[in-house]
Formats: sequence, C-alpha cells, structure tokens
Amino acid sequence: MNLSLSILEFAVIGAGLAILLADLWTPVPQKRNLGYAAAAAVGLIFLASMLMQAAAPAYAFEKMYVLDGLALFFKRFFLFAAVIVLVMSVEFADRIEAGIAEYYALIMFALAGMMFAASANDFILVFVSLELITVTFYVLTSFQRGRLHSLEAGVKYLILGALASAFLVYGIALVFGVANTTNFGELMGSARVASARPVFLLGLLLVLVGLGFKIAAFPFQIWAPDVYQGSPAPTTAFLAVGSKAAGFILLLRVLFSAVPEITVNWTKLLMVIAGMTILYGNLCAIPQRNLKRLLGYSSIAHAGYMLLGVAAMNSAGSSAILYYLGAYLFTVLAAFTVICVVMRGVEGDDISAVAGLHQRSPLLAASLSLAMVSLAGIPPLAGFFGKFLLLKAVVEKGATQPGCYWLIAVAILGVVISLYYYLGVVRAIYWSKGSAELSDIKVSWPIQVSLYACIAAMFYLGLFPDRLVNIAMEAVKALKL
Amino acid sequence: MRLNSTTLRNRSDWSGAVPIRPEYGWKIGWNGGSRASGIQTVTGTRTTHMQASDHPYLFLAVFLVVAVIFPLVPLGLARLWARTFSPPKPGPVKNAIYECGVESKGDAWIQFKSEYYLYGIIFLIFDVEAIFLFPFAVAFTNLTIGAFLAMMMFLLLLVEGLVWAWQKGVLTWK
Repeated sequence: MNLSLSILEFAVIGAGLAILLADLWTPVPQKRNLGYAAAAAVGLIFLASMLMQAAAPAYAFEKMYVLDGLALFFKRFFLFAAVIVLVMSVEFADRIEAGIAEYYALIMFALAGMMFAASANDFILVFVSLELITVTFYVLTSFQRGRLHSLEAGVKYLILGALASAFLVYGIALVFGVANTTNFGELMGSARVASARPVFLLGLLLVLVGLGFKIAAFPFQIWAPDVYQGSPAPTTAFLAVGSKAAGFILLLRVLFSAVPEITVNWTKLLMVIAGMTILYGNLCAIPQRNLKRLLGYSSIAHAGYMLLGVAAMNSAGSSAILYYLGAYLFTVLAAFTVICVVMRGVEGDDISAVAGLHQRSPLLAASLSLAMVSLAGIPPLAGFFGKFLLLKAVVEKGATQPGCYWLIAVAILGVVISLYYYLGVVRAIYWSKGSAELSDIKVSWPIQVSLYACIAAMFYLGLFPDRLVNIAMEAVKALKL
Repeated sequence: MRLNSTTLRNRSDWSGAVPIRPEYGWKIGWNGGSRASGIQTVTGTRTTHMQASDHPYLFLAVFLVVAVIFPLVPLGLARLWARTFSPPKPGPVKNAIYECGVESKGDAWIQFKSEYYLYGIIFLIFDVEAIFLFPFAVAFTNLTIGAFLAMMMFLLLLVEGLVWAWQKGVLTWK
C-alpha cells in the first residue's frame, strides 16, 4: 500500500478538518475570513501538485487507486476550481445565515471526493468518491435554509441523485456478478468474455446512467436547471465545473480503461446522446430570463459538446475534452463570480439585474461578457478552440462512421442557437435601456484577482492553445484508445 | 354460527348506540344454527367421474369454477344474513374512530422537535465505530503498525466530529 500517492487528497481532507475545528474557536465576525485561509490552503496544495510527476502509472490501495498523468491533470483542475469557488463563497458569506465555516469545509470535502474520482481505478472507488461528492452537494445546494428555492434545489438533487446512485450501484453489482471483479485492469482482461453476456452489458448501461446523471447528459438532465437556479452561486459554480468534470473523468476511465472493447460498439449510442444533449440544452436556454437557470441549460449543452469527444473514441477526442474542460473552468468560474457579486439582494437572478453593468463596474461587465462570448465559442477566446478541437476529432472519426457528419451538423446548429442567448446577456449588459440601479459596485481585491486570472486564462488558452493541448495529449495516454 | 352470534353481540355492546340484551343475541344464534344445519344436508352433490382423456386441461376449468363459487357462496350467504339480522344503523358514536382506551383529543398533526435527530446521528456513528472496534480488538496482537495507525486515524476523525458537535452545543438539551 502506497499511501504517499494520495498525499494531495489527505492534505485537502486535513485542511477541511482544520477549518471545521478552527471555526469552533473563531469569533463570529472573523468566521467569514476562514474562507481565505481555506483558499490559501487549497492554493498551496495546488502549487504542491505542480511539483508532482506521474511519468508511469503508480497504484495504491490494491490497485483501486491510480496516479497517472490523467489523474494528475484532473487533480490540478479540481484544486484550481476550488480556490476560486472558495474566494467566491467568502463574497457570498453574508447571504448564508449560519455555518459559513461548514460551507467552506464541505467544499473541501467535495473537492477531496473529486480528487479521489480522478484516480479511480475500481468501481468501488468510483462509487465511494461519487457518493462523497454527491452527499456533500446535497448539503451545499440547500445551504440557504431560509430560501425556499434553495431547499427545493436540495430536495430535487437529493431524490434524483439517490435514484442515479441506485442505478449506478445496481450496474456495478451486475458487472461484478458476471466478471467477478470490480477492478478496471482486471475487467479489461475479462471484458471480451463477459461481453457475450447481456447482463454484463446491462450493468454497464446502468453505470452509464449513473454517470450520465452527474454530467447532466440528455435523458438524465432534468435536475440540472432547477438545482443550478436554486443553489447558492458558489455551489452552482462548483457543481457546473467540479461535479461535471468528475463525471467526465469517471466516464473516460470506465469507457476507455475498463471496457474499451465494449465501448467501441457504443459509438452510435454515444453519438445520439451527444446530439440530443446539445439540442436540448441550447433550445431550452433560449427563453430563460434567470441567469443561473440559463447557465444551467448551457451547462447541459456543454456536456453535449464534450460528449462529442467521447463519441469520437480517439485520443484526439479525449484530449479535446480535457482542453475543453480547462477552457470551461475559467469561463464558467468568471461568469459565476460576477453573478455572485452582482446578484446581491436581487431576487430571481433576472438578466435585467446586469443592465447597465458597464457603468457600475467595468471589470464585472467585461468579465461576464467575455465569459459569455467564450461559452458561445467565438474566437479568439478559449471556448472557440475547445469546440474546434472537439469537432476536428469528430471529423477524423467521420472517415469510418459517416453518421458523424450529421452529428457535426447538429453541433454547429447548437452553436448557432447558443449565440442568440449568450449575446442576449451581453446586450443586456451594454445596450439595455432604463436600468434602475446605477450605483458603483465595490469589488474586493481577491475577487478582482480571480477575475483577472480567469480573463487572462481565457485569452491565453484561446491565443496559445498548444501548451494545454500538449498536456492534454500527454494525459490521455493513460487511456486505452 | 356461535362465533357469529357472539361477535354480533360484542359489536352491539361496544357500539353502545343500540342497547341489546344479551339473550336476544343468543336467540339469533340458535336460530341461525338450526338453519345452517338444514343447508348442510342440501350441499351433498353427485360427483361426476372425470376422465383424463376428455381434455387434459378440463380439470383446470373445473378448478376455476369451483374456486369462484367456493368463496362466493358463503359471502353471499353472509350478505343475506347481515341484511336480515343486522341492518346498518350508523350513528355518531358508532362511527367514531375508537379502538380502545381513552378517546383521543385534538389533531394528530403536531410538530415534533426535530433536534433529536442529531443525537440519533451521533449515536449511529459511534454504534458503527463499535462494530469496527470489535474485530480490531480481537485481532489486535497480530496487527501491523500500519493497521493500528489506520484505526487511530479512523477514531481521530470520529472524535473530531464529536468535538465539533459538542462545541456547537448539539449535546445540550434545550
């Protein structure tokens, strides 16, 4: 047993426990600032993760846990996301009646779950890490106990999440029943034999259902808009970035490192899911007036774009997913940070609340507009290059699978539809008439720093994508593609 | 039939709406008994000898018919009996939701103190901890240092939770 491999996770858990304990002896006015301590701790762990190397995959916990390039990529991804989310939640602290320190600690525990998910090499660890993420999110979504919307979001997430977990466990049980193992490495050896049994395929499909719920893919996306709308803004941000990315890393691991022989036969299924998810997310986002709900639908659409990379089933597709997630991280976090600051005291998070934002705070207006433009996929921002890479991977696949060209058509149609509602937000910021509120918005320096970092990253990734593309290409070598 | 008469009497007793003398119930019981014995003599019917060569599934059809008739006959008889001898006489007291003991007052939809669930959770956690501690204690002499440290880690996490809950005032009865 090689415990030192999971040192990052243990550090995060330890820091979370320390925050919980520190809360007990911190005077009430100071509790809010524990979030900065938490962000600093996670930031230090992020820097430490940069020193780690994973040239060859290393295993721990009887091969349940793997540390390879892919795992390390996602661990850094989650750590960075958590830093920004923690800064955001300090900004949000005054809107949470009680237990702000617990809010910080829960974010860190969810982070630990995501980091374990990045290293999952066994269905048992898949389930445990997913539960750690989901159970903490049940609490995080309903943290504003006084608001009915927040409670509604929590209950909806709880019921549907429990249902999805049940599917997942049932699927794992069926897989174990046939293959007699839950380990990905051993499954790959026995998958060819086991794939003759329909029960095995049924089990894998049920696992796919459970993971589809996490990423909000088409038939399992119903929860996303309501939960995104009702949750506190930092929770929504972490849900949109962290939870979704955790779903994708698990999906990649299950499809391409546990049962690659079977996945090859599922191209059409994945293509249909991807296309439907793109269309559903984009079409339903059109009439939305609530900014968080709009981003909820847009996150469904983005799950669809990333599923393009899964359906492509080549290393170009998988590395494009990694790149896309990297771009999505900065874009979505910038958008939610702005929402978090602007929507103070606004009931309903209506788009009209950002009217005249460029007069109230140019930085916030610029950040939100750039985030929307990047989400829409307009060059030279990061979102454009992510979509380009994904479509390129699907085109490569098109040589063997002519249906891919239809999928590309659907994806481009989705992008065109999405321009309408993303640019609608930009229009509301700069060109809306008769905005009631025109007072200046004070932006605290940590928020400024994180916004500048997100903007810089959006431009950097859009203009100089080769570095992240190389890292992503290197990372997906861990998968059997 | 005797059972029928006693239950009838008991029902009229607890309903309290229609005071019936016990001997009345007895009388009905005796009458019913004589009638029932009369019916029993009629029920003896001729059994036809069924050959397997007629149809292999014929007996299933016969079974089905008998299975329908068998419960319907006594049910119908009981219905007739009830219509004749115990016509429904609903009343406010008879319709009352009453089982036994003191009559309930007020609404059952009251608010409970939900704070008690915290005790429940803490109890559950330490209950589970105890389950893990038993095998640990049994195998203690053969354990490695790593296993011991892992167990201490587990205990530390739980103790941390207890300290947190205690300090938050969860254990204080209000």
